[in-house]
Amino acid sequence: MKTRVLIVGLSIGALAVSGCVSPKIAAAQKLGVAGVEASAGLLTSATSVESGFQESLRQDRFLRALQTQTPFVRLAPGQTPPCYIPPGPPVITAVPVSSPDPAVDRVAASLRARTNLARSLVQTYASWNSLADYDAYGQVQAGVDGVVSAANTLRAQWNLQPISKGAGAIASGLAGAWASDHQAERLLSSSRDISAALKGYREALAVGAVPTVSVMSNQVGQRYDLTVALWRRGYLDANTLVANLGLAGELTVLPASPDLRFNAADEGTCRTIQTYLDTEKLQRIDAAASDYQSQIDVVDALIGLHDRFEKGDGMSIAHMDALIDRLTAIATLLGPEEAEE
Amino acid sequence: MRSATPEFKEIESAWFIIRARFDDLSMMAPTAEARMRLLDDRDGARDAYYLALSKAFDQGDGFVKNTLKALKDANTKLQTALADLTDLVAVLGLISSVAQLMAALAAMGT
Repeated sequence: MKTRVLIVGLSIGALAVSGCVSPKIAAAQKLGVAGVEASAGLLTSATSVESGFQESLRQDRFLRALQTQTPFVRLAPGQTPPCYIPPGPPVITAVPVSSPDPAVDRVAASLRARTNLARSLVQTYASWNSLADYDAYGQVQAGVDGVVSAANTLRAQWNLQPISKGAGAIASGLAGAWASDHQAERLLSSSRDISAALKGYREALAVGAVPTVSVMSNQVGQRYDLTVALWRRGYLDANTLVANLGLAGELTVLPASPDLRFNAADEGTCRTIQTYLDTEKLQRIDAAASDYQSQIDVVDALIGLHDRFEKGDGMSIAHMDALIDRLTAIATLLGPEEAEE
Repeated sequence: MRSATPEFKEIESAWFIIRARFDDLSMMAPTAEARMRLLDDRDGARDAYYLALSKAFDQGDGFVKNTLKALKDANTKLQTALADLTDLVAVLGLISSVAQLMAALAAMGT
């Protein structure tokens, strides 16, 4: 979130010093701000998913290790397992950790490719803003090269043909609609390059949707499974959760003290909080698919803005702002807690 | 957007069920050996899930379809057994079967 605020702040600053500009340059600057915001949103989301995946691998080992001290419980027929799992001495020896799986590496590489692509987009739109301000064509082209390269890395993950740069050659009809102004011509050419790379990005996102959404759902589930396991063993207390729930009804929880903790040792409390966490887990798993669709929507909206820019149509970024806000909100919901800082 | 293949859906579903109920089942394992075996099976199921993630599936392969049917059946039995934990030995045995079928199906991916 901080990244987005900083980048957008810089973009607006660049606009402020640019003074009086032609409508075409003003449209380019508007597109640049939207592009920086959108790519920063995509970067936030991709980074959150990538770091969440690594975190889920560590959580998996943690949950596994907990089994060494989990007591054996004998149940009568038809009896449900207890919620509270009292701590005890080790009952089995340390569980050997299996060796790293190449399939995990491939999934990690795919998530990293998405992050790198979003990062390249941020750089490209930052350069685009420079081009709109002082004709930094070389910077934009270097940025486009980076986006095409990152898009191809992602596309290779899904066995898609690589895309190439060069779509920026200006169609004669379109070029005629523009002033002969050198800077505007370069903006149009760069817009077409970026738009072509975005289309390649969009296709890769669509093709990789099923496994990527599954990874996101799994990491949410993994995180909650560990939280529930720790809660059931009495390593966590629910005072903060209860206090937050009370806020909605303007209720307050009594001050925490060693004598008043909401913990799993009480079977009823244990089950209530476990049910709450299980419900929240399902809601967040549903959010994973929404997050992914939001990313595709943002890329679609960016492609649409480039199209309007190239045709000389008016630019409105209100829809883009709404999409980015949604994307950021879902990414925050899905990511590890430390990502929210 | 490309939709999930039936093979992938079954593997994902089986892994999500095993993962979510693992803590209960581990606690209820009757012996240390049974718990160790459950841990191994769980690891196998998780690895099969990651393998499935990393591969595309050949939906036209008859062998894949047969294995998929076996996994679907085992998955259904597992869900029924988990709803009523009276025969724990059978549940743990089913998890072994599901994990093995998941690994076989995932390995068949192209």
